[in-house]
Amino acid sequence: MGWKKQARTQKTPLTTFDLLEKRHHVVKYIKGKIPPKQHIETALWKAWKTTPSKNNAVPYKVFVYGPKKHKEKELVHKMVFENHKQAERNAVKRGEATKTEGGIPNPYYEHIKYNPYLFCIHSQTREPNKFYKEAVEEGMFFDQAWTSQVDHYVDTAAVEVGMFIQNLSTYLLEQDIDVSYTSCFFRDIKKWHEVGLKDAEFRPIVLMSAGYKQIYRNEILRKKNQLQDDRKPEIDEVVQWT
Amino acid sequence: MGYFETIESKRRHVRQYNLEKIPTKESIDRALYKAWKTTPGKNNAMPYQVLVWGPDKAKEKKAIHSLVVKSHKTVEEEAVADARLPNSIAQADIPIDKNKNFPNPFYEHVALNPYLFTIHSRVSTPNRWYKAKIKEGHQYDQGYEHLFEHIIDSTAVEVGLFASNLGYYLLEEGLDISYNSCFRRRPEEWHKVGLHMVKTRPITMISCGYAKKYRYQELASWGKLNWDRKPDQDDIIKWI
Repeated sequence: MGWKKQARTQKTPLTTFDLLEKRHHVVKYIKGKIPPKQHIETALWKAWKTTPSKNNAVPYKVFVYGPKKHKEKELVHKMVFENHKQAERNAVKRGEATKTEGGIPNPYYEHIKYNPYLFCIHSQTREPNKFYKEAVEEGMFFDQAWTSQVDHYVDTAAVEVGMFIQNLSTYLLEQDIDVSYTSCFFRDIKKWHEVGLKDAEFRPIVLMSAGYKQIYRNEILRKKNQLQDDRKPEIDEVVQWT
Repeated sequence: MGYFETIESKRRHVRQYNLEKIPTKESIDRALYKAWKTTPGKNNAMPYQVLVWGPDKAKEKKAIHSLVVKSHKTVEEEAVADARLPNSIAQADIPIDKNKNFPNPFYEHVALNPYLFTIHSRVSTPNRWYKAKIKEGHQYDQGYEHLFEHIIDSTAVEVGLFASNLGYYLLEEGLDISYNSCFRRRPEEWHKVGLHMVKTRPITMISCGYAKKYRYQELASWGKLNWDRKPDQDDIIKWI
């Protein structure tokens, strides 16, 4: 093969910035095209290996629902949908809104129901390792060990979960696998248990799906000529030098 | 070097920064821009604000460090007072010559660093697309200060995404970083130590600079490096 042909066919590895710039919310994954389980396992291992945690506690647990778990994903989706409706009703009650969307299902939650893989990340209590056991004996409080503290330190746990899913996303994107997130779901673990999702002991923190995209949300907005309307705040609003 | 190799080989908690060697403001601005550009957010709201404390903010960083130490002490005292917990002593109760962990030396990176980022809740304004959705009944909970605590888990996940990206881009610049989650949450307490520019509750903090010494080196010198391990992968990930 001549050098010109080689240059044309050789894939230049993207920088991480370019890779993450390509990430978009998925409305629909390709049905029947399943990323190999090994790719998912590799990404999960790398995310576990490279995500730091306060006191090395890792106070969360990742539940992975694979390609055959249709029923479970439908149940999770139902809780997302019901939570969305309830959140809108509550906003009306509090006076932040005058009406709800009327229970119309949000199409951008469908990735929770139809996907090859769904990750549900929940809080989890943890025992201290040898180093922290000694510190606990000296009076240190290891709050990640106690059920009564789960809601108290949820902000810290959620920051760490955010770091984990960012790493997991990057490792999946490196393998051309798309990802999407949602933060809309019932927090009360009893509601999960009531519908039969009894694996997790504690409250959920975030949901993430993965697969090969059929259509991105931004493609729909572009078709409707609305893409420029849905912008994030300018950097000056988010970052401030003191 | 790829993403995995960069984080795995370069990210270590910093015990001490080299305060003689200050990273350029350009490298910090570049990393902040990339993190802002590549971090997604629910409703495109980014309901948080990153305050950057530069090399000239030594006094302010010392004040922030005092809130870290105070938080650590208070958390332990509250645990002793909580009848549901078995704690009977706080680290501050042990004489200083017998306890090298109070104040925790691994918080010093918050006081002594070239750059410190503290990330706080922020009231967001809906963009044009969400303004239209709100008229149809869509709830935009990031627009209300009284809902900060109600949505803190969701906001904190997004802050984690941002912090992870920022951390990586800083590592790419050849810099070291460290995180901290122990601090007083109420802005009123920040005001008491003179930090009146802080208007809303903090969520996390990250320091940055060139490391002089890492935490793992200190643990190794104590012969305790292998004591401090994270839970095994099987404890964290469960296939259903």
